[in-house]
Amino acid sequence: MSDPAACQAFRLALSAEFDGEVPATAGAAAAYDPAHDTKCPACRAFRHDLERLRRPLREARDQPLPGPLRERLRQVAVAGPRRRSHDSPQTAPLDHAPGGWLAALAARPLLMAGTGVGLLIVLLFLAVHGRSDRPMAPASVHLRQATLAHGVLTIDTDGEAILSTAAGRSLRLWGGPGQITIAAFTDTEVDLRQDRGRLCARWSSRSPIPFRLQAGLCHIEVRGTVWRLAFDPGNESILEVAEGQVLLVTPTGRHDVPALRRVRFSSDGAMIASEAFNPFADPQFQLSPDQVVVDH
Amino acid sequence: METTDKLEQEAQDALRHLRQGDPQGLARLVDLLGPRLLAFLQRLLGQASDAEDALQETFATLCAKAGQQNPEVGSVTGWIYRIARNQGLQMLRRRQAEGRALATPPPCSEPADPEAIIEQHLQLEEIDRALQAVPIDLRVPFLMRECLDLSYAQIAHLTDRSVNQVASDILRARQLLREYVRS
Repeated sequence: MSDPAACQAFRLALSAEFDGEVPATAGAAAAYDPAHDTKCPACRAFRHDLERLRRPLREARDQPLPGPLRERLRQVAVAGPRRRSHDSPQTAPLDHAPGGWLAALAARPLLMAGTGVGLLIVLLFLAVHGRSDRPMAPASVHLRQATLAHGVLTIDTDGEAILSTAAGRSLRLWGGPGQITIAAFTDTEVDLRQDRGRLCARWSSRSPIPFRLQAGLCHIEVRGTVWRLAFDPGNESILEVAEGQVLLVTPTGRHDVPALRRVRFSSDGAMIASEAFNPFADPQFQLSPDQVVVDH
Repeated sequence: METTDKLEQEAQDALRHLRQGDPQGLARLVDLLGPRLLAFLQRLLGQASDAEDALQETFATLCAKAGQQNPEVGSVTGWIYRIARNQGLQMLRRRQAEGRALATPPPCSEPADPEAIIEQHLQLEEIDRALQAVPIDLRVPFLMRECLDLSYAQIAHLTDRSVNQVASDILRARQLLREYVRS
């Protein structure tokens, strides 16, 4: 049986040599006996296995990208760079951003990184005048225990749906049972209607875009990225905010709803209650404290 | 090193085009770096769909921050690799928060025969599964070496550790991976 220290020194040097590196220190070089494995079957086996392990990894690395993925990534390019070379980092607009505030936020990468997930606006309209009936479907859809037919997305209790735009912005919906109708889902327009039930939503991408959500008689503007709306057209609805800040505008007035609050409102928009909401105790959210960011 | 320099040169050129508003700039970066980044993220995350999402986020971030990268200050490829690493780690954290961490193989219950060698033709899926059991601090430098073809010095720079530490971490990753594959 070889000396374990000699085996370790040999393997360290062998691993480095395998990578085209030289032993990092003079001490390591001195301890390295290149002929060690002629006397040590275990290290000989180790050398053999290094080669066995490397081959599939290298083969995979040299594979070209799958065609559809390559196209998806190149569509991010077609959507255009978000910052032009002559723009300063502080003033550069996002091509897709309809408002200066979003561009301003996008120009602060630390803030973006700090929130981790970006900014989301949900507008809930009293009426849908002027909306296009033309369905503009997501570029890709991932469904688990969920169905999507004729623009109607139904998500079961343990299901989830990930809707992606052509440029790769993904909205994850889960926490059903619930149903929404997708009127539009593109990089310039996201228009949803919550028909019934309960759903949680979160943008997976760092560059979320504003979108509208119609659900009855209220106008809701949400700033944040994790929220849940339980909508019952004929009864009480519940809006819970895990991250960010929500402005709820009902026929009875405007109500700020910060993170970790839950509000109940009736189908005619009357406020019923505002109370503390603890997403940490809610298995649907699975948040850690550092994930909750109130974004004013 | 010559190949690495050529890659860096081409990446700088493509990024310059991207910053000038030419969408072909990103298309070239996708072709240049996409395959190795996908391999890196796939091995890191162990799941193709997550790896593709993380790769897409990598290029979206690259677009958003292209104007902030100064090739005279740091390497373009290093900057992109760092974005990919961060996206991969973020995806892992998100997956953990959402309770969909991948099942990892259990640690070896007893040491395998040290002299036995891996005889069968190894499938990539087996390696991916085994890699998920390698601690992330070791997995990242190991994959930067195997998938991104970075030198120890480059890995040390990107992961904020010494070259000696990188050498040691890569060896430990290899030893663990070997044990998990054999078990």
